[in-house]
Amino acid sequence: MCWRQIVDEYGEMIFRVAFGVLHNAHDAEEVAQDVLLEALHRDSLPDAGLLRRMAAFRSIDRLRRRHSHDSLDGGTIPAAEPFPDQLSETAEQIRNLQRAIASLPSRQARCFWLRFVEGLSNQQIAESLEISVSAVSTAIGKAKQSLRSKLDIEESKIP
Amino acid sequence: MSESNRQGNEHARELDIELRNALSAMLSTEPSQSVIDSAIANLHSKVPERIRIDRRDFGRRHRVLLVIAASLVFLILVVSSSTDAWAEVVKDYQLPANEPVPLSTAAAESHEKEAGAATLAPAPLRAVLLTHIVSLLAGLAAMGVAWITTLVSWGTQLRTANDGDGSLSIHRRILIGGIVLYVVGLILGCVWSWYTWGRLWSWDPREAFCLITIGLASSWCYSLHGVSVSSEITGGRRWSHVATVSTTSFGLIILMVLLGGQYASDLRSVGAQSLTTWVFFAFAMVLLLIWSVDFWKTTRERRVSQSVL
Repeated sequence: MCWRQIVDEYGEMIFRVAFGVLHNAHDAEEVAQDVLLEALHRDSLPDAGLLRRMAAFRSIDRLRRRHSHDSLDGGTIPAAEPFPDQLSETAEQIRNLQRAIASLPSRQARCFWLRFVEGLSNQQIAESLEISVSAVSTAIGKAKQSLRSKLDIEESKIP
Repeated sequence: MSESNRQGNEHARELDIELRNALSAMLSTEPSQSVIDSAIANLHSKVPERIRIDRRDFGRRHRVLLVIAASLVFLILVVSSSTDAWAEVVKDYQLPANEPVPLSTAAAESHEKEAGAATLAPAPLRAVLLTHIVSLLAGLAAMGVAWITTLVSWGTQLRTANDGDGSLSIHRRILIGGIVLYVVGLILGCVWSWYTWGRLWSWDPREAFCLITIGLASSWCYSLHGVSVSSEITGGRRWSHVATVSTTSFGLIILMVLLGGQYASDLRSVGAQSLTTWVFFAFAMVLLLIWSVDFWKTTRERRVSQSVL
């Protein structure tokens, strides 16, 4: 399968995943490039699920880099791209969530993503990341706690 | 809805309502079709370009060691040159000279007769000498500033170098400018030496120091930039125009030394008066060999990549 076919078949999916995290077309394009190049350098082409996961992880890493650069410069995280019918409150909520995810350590962010977005079980996450199940549980617990505190969510509101 | 999304939604019920809503809002945002089409078109153009210039990483550890070594030696040279200690060190390592070099007006006169070139008038010659000194000092100062600022921002520098965006920070620009100024100063010095002493180069401690300085600065610049523009994911690197500048400048100086030594025999008799200069010369040849192999591998892999696309 040459690179053109790979871009045609998986490019849009990877871009959508990256855009869903980053909300910035330019950054999402760069993440998509990186993911496709990594896929091309592997011995065999990863399946769609793995590509989606790679796109999500690279996007989170990008968020983290964006956040660390803005912290150094004392600036703000770039606003999400404007899109129609988006309430300002929801946009602010998304920005806060991006900032909170960017502040998570890599393992916590990945475990959180695989659990609550990809829908994997702790056992599946452990196999995917090559860590123990207990480490996955701990990471997910810490991620939830950290996100709660960063988003100022009271624990009593859990249903 | 895919199976994973459905399972994700089930697990998301474990989250707080606000967090769940924010996550849902973030993930449900879709780009417009025009944005998607533009992104796919860009991928079609940029992916093959990155494939062509992508290559295996030289090794982060090797680059770090090279930069550390170059920085330490550079520091020693800068300090020692200012106190004339360098001349004392070189003197201690003098090998027995084979034949004395006639660095006298007789050689200049001989050169005039052979080449038929007119001698420069004193005023232009002094201007060349002055410009040579100013360029050398300015280049040295710029390299020193770039070196200090690079050390201060050590971690950021290396991290930035791996972003692959190709942008050059201010202290990198100062380094490149310093190297260019220094090489210009060296060339002007060679010109002045030609009209004054009848040869482009002579192995005195100051000139040896200049050569070592430009060699180390170029190697430092190359190690930072020649292999630094890499993809974080693939670890590939790019032979940047900065590496071309540093390698070319160093190669030109070496070439001038060889030509100025008037064939290898003169180099052996004149240049071998100092063990230090011989060590440096060997070091320089190894550097040029490494860079040449590196450049050859880059172009070869580029040709191979193009053939399979």
